[in-house]
Amino acid sequence: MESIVFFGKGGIGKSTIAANVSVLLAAAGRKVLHIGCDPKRDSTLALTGRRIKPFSDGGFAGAAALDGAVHKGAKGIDCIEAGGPQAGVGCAGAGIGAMLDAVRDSGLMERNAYDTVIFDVLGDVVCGGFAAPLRRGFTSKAVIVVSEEILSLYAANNLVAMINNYARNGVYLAGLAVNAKDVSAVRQAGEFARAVNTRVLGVIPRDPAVGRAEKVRKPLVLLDPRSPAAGALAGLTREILSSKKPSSPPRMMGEREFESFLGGAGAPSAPAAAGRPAPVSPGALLEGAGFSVTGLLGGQVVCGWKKGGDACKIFVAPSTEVRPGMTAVSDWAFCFAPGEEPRGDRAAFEAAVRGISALRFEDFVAAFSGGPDFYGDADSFGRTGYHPRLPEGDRPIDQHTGFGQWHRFVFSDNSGVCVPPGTVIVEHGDIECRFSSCSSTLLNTFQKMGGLSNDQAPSMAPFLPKEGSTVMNTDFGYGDAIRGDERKMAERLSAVSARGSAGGLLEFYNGCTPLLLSSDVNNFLEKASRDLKMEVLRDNFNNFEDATPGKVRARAALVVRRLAARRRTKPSCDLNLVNFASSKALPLAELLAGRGLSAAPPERDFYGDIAASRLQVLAYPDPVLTTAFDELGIKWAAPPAPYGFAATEAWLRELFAGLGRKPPRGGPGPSPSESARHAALSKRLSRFAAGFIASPDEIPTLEGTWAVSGVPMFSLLREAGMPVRLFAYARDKAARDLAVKEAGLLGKRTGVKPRLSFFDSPAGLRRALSADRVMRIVYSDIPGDARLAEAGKNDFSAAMCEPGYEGTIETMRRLANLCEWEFNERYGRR
Amino acid sequence: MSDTAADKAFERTYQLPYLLGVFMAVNAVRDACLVVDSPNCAMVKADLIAGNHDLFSTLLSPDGRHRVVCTMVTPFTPQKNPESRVAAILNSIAGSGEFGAVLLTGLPFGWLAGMDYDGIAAAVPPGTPAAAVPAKSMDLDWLEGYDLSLEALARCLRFPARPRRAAGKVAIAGYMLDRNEFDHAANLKELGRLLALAGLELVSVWPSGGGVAELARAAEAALIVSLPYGRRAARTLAGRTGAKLLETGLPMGLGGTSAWLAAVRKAAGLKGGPPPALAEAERTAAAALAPALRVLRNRNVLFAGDPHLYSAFSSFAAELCMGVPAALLGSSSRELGPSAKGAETVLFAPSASEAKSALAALPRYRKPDLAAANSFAVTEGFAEGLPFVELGFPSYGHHCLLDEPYFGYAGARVLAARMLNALQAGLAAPSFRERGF
Repeated sequence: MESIVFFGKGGIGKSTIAANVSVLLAAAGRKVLHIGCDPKRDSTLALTGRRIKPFSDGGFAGAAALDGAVHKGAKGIDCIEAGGPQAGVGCAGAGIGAMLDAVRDSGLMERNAYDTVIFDVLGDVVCGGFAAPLRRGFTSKAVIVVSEEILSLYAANNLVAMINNYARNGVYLAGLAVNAKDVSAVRQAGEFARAVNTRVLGVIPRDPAVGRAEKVRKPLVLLDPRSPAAGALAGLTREILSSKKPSSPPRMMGEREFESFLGGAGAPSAPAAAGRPAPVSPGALLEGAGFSVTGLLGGQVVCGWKKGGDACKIFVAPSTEVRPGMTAVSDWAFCFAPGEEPRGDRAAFEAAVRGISALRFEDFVAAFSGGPDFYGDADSFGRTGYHPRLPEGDRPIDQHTGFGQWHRFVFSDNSGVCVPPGTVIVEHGDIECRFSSCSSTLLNTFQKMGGLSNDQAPSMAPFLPKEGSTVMNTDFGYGDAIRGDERKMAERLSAVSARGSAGGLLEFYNGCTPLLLSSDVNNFLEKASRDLKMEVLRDNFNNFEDATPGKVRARAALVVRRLAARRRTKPSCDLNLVNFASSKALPLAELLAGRGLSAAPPERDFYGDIAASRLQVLAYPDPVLTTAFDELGIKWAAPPAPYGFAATEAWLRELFAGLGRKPPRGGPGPSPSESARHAALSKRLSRFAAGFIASPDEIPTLEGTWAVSGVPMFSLLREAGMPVRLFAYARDKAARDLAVKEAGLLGKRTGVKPRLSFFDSPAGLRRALSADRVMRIVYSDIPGDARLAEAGKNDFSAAMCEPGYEGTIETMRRLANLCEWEFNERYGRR
Repeated sequence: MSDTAADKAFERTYQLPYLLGVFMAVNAVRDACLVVDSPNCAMVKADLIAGNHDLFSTLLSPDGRHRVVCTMVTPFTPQKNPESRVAAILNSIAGSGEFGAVLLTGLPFGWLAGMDYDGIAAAVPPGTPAAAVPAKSMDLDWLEGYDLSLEALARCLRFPARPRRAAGKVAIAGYMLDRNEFDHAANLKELGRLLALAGLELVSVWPSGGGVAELARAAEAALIVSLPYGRRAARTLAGRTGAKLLETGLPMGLGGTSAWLAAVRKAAGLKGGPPPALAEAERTAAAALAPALRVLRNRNVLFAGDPHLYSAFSSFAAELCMGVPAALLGSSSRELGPSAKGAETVLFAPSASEAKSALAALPRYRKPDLAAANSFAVTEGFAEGLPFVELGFPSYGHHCLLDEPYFGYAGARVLAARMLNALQAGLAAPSFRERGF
């Protein structure tokens, strides 16, 4: 089967040419399918004599929508029009993609055994959707229609790049069809063809017969086959059919080159193929010049270079992403890796760069096929590797998706930010969003977080996403994408209104698909704000728990409004544990009750409990709550978390102080029985050591990765009488020096002097861990971390720690059990 | 709009997303890797499987050798040519030599943007097979995602140049291996055993939890048996290998298994009735479960799970003289297999309130005594107060550290025993007693 796609700037006769080529092929006995890929649906006007019902009228309902969309045209040609949304809404490109998927999925082309498929694609190709006919299995030849208009050549130049991009699918540019009014235009088109390394397939002269045929909606080659234009169309068709894949691909002119071309310079003197790499393969060229591609880093290619005794390492970036300090070469630029410049004469290196200057950026990427240290070098697939660079305080950008990198053993906090009742979260997204949005993005079986605000109850298996009074998804679908989502948004916001959330806060999160389509949500949200009498806040993606300043302000204002609206009552409780996980709040409430302090029952009535309590106790100083409390003059405290006996006593003392009351006689400390059990467990634990693994810049975060709600692990272990080992990842002296410094500072802060050792590879770490027989437990936030089991060790983490006196005793009991547990020692070792 | 209508508009439905099916297929092929062109939120699908449903899953790994990775792309990612980034990642993973096959898919916005995933995958340099799974999340459900992923593997895998094909060799394509636990291992062992008794050799199961090399052995088969979870994959495989194709339901229950074996034997060209050893295996299984029938018969079972499993299960239930008055099916609407016995109520992707109303509306003597259902049926409250056999995906509350099949003759015994035990245990439960049993 032959398939031909016609591209070109709008309004220069593309549809006329495509329709007539279809007729000529059908007249020659071919079975032809003609597909119009333009929402205007005028490609088949001449073939059918009318506007046919487009595919889009079938609701884009997959293959079923094709049933009513195939229409017979002149000479038995089957015609389809993709159709599309009303201008200015939805996504016509997506509609074309949907139609082609339906054509493929329904087996239409095979079933009807077409000899030829003609695609007529709308004017300027503005997004990937309009390139859909170039996907695998559809098109083999592309023809660009040009005219005397400069902008038609400009469009053609861009189309060359697009067609080359899809060359991997077997598509090639057959050449240009010139729809020109005079000889000069034909000459210009010919010069353009030479400049971009293609050819002119045919020239259609200006002919009044064309206009006559359009008027009566008939194909010219049938209405007036003897007209000059009809003859030219027949010639063009023959040329298209006989065209073969060119030996060298066409080449898009750069902007300056194109401007110079238009300036009258004609075809550049350099041959079109000059910018392309030499016939040597990119890999061989690189190797010959002394380069080896060793990895990908943040979208850049990492290259080593070696010549004689000299060597260096460079980062290569595409020219679209050049940074200051990089040297531009071709469509790529390079800079030296820090401290990796050539030591000797740079002339050899510069000569080597000249030798590979013909390469394109994609050649570097193609040359990368893993390396001896693939897992060490490649970290472009996520942004947190073993060596965390924490640009914003202690929060890594992404904790779990890096590929080919060791995961850190200690993750940072994921406490989030309070979503006060009265907030309605509407996520404008599809079903995939729905299954991503309603819980935090941490993977609960892969990463367990501890601390006061994290619930680690065993029943953490996933649920179907919650859709309730506070979180909802708009169920954005195919039709919304193609036809526009205004109706869907209106319907959903009306449903919010019916919930009677007046005075509340509506947070509207735009998902990826509506973002891509630039849905006009602002207009809707303004209306929603008026109609619903709610404050409206817009954000993107499902960042419900990101504490942006605007979000903090809006949520705090909601808390203020709701609390201010309540009638002041006499407090009935001493304390209110506000943002604690329920598994932590319950035992702490018991602890407080034992010391004569009453606490509001957890998760009863958010605003009522605040109003009914003398002091608000926060697991961490949530910015929403602290802002609101400060504004209303509500007393609050967020003392360091009560993990360990000393920390628990300090926590209690701070709460008594906050209430302005004295602790009970004898102080708020542990009972004699609790102290005795603590001492017995300390004795049991002191026979063992606990280990931590970190890179030097991670060491400061080890004492509880966040200041308040986290577990002060080093202090807890010190109190339990356990020595601590610290294994630092350090490949050079500078890293070792930094680790020594940071470990010293950590020791000063916590009173624990860890025994420091170093490793520089996974195998090295395994050896170091295995060799230490006293150390039985090693910290990891990944439960059952196989890297530790393989060394015969058991993992422990903050998720195992419980607050309060009884909680501390239970934590120590768990640690002791782990220290004495031999399963991994006996069966886990590798 | 009334409050009730408003609530309904936002109700969650008993339905799972397309990408989850893709993740499941990759989970089931030990050395396959999936690249998802998406932000990291897509990774949460792994959580529905790894460590929660499948304790043996290797989708995620502390050493970074994840078998599902994402490109971190968003509509805001500034890229002049976004395809080059995806291509770089895909090529690198394929070139790492760590994987037997690499699949590529994306979120719907990638598809809408016209990302040419097919072309990118096809351009991966020779070495590791790579293919694109269509990014069809807005159109298709998880069962389609699973099928299309297997189909992508069937398109890209390299088969031995001269496979040792023989008439008696059979491959099964479209098995739902939702986890690498011993329920599925036992199912496959049982099917291999029964096919051997039937005079056939099972050379490959798509997927079996093994690696790509095991999948490639399908080229040796003269017959591809297509199960409902991978019809497309089976067709592609048969088309590529030239093997004969037989489409069947699931081999569940005694009669269901015998019929399945008979169909496979016939398609493989074997004449006559079942070999004596096979008939004996069926009789032995029947004898073993016969004592349970006095408890099981005339019981009503609520089924909640996937539609293909429902078709097979309802047939098995009928064999045990049990009824399935209601089936709540967690997928888009689709044609049910011929073995599905008509329940009074069959709902596809119902909302929680629809499901509960339908169950409440069942006539008094058709109320379920037992639920055979997945975990979500429990968490959504469909099976409240009922004795419960957790079956299908997901099974967060029931894990198999030892053989526990539910297919074949052995599977019929195990599943009957599980239902029997659940019913008997339920006799002691107050809610059950209160209902007059």
